[in-house]
Amino acid sequence: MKERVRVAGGQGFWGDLLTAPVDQVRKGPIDYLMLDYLAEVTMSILQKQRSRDPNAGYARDFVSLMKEILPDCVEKDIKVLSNAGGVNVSGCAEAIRETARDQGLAGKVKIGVVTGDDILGRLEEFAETGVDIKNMETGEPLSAIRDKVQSANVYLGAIGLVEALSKGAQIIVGGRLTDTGLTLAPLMHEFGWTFDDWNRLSAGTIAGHIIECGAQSSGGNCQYEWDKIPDMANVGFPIVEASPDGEFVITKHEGTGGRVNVQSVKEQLLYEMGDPKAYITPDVVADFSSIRLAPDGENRVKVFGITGNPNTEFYKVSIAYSAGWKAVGTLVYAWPDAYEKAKAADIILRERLERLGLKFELILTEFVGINATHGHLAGEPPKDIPETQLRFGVRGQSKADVERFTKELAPLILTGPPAVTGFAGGRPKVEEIMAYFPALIPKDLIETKVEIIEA
Amino acid sequence: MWHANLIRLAFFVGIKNAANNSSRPDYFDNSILREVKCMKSQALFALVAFFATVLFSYGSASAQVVEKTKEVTSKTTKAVVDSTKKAASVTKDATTAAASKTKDVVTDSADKTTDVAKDTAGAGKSKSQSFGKNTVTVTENIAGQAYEGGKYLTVTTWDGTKWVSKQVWQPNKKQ
Repeated sequence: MKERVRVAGGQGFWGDLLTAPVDQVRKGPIDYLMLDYLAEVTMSILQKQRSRDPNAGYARDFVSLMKEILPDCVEKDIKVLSNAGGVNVSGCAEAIRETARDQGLAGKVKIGVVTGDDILGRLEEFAETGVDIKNMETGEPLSAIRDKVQSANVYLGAIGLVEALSKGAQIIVGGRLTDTGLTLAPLMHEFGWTFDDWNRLSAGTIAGHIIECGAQSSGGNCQYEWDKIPDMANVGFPIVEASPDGEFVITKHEGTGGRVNVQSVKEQLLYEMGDPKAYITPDVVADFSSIRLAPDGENRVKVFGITGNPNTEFYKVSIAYSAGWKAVGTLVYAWPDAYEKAKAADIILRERLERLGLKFELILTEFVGINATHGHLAGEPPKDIPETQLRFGVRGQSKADVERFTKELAPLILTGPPAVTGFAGGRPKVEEIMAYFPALIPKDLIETKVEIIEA
Repeated sequence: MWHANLIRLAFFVGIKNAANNSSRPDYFDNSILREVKCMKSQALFALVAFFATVLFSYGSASAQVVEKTKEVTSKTTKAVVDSTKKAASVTKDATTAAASKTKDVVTDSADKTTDVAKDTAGAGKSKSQSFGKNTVTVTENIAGQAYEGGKYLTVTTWDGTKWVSKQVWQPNKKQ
């Protein structure tokens, strides 16, 4: 058994810094690279992409990345775990396989494919057999939105990944795998942690939580002394150095920018936190109140004392459904009386929309630079602010009404208050709204599938 | 030419009728009959020539029709064959591509399966395990073949009037 295992975070979301995983592989020693590509609505976006192109539906950036780093990973025996498969895990795996073959790595790479998360095609079966699926926040039954559902995916945990690793997979792709499971799985595999070793599973889960958002724990988006964080252009992404007993250190490669300290780790720990004593994952219920942090040298934070509790009998399900249409447009008003001009434009626009008889569920106005972040808590702005941006959005079930709205913003330039700019982008774009419907489903209805293919 | 023969025939028939008429007048002498006999043999020749001409013309026209028909048929056949060839070619290409890929997979799989089989008995078979309430089914080996899924191939065919492309799901074969 290894005394220390290094798991590096490479992507915090689909669209994160493309050079980060390359740096993680090349700028220092790591054993595993975890890449989180999926946000809650990403699955529905991928589902729509695949409906237009059967070959789409996964994070193509992952394939591009593998083209660049696969030879390094093979040479250094670095294993990669990712949820880049989205709604087309097989397609993603096939693309990786072809990439490996193109690079002369046929026979040298095993690819683990973890599926079973996609239950879109099983919703009817569940409805017919009386499986009660309802919104875990509002109690609304799934039947209320069934005909609008675009995607439905169970959050799978670490178990499937552990099995793939145990079969020698070097690159593992899955669909809706939890962010934390991508880090926990290598630790379970390397240290032989069992599925009911709750404290260690909790430690591995919290380690995953700390690095799942990329540089957010190593200086990015960090409030604490943000202006003193060095060399952010060359920010290093976080790395977990874990020990068999469940203790671990958060660090980053030497020679990279950013900063890892107790404050940066604490800020990340608070991210997406509900009940700190019960952070529920498919693998374990982690107790964040048990976490202890201590400095462990430059850019090193030791994390220890973690406990956890048995997991639940349910998987969380992420369901996305089509909930109408929206469009958002902006105009910028300049001094003098910038705020007053923007407010006048808002009133004029609302009146014109009403005269047109357009129906919207919501019309939302924000004044960027004044109250877009803090709303009414921001209070009244100074009289002489140099400018403000009017951000005007509508939401409704009628696409035609939303489209009609997009033609009403530009006329304000010549038929509204003076000193306006910031309209070069043209008419706002109409977008479909994907709403989130979180639910629970009994674990015994779901089967995780792991398949090992060879390049 | 056969028009002239027809006129001659009409003239001959008219003269012959006149010659055979028993109620011919006296001024109708033998010289006239000799002339008629002479014309009779000429007319017979003309008749034969006429029918020969008609037959030749018919034969010629028929031959032309046949040639034309042959030509059209040939063109039609050629067009059909070309289209069919094209369609067959495209279908074949697509099929070949698919077959090639499938073959590729199958061949590799076969090789790999052998290798894997040497190392681990029962490779390629699924095995289910439970971890608490979590159930995991693992399928090993398999050179790209045992995992669920496949590929969409674009197959273009000629439907008789236009090219039609469609996406065909090509599942990965399983052991």
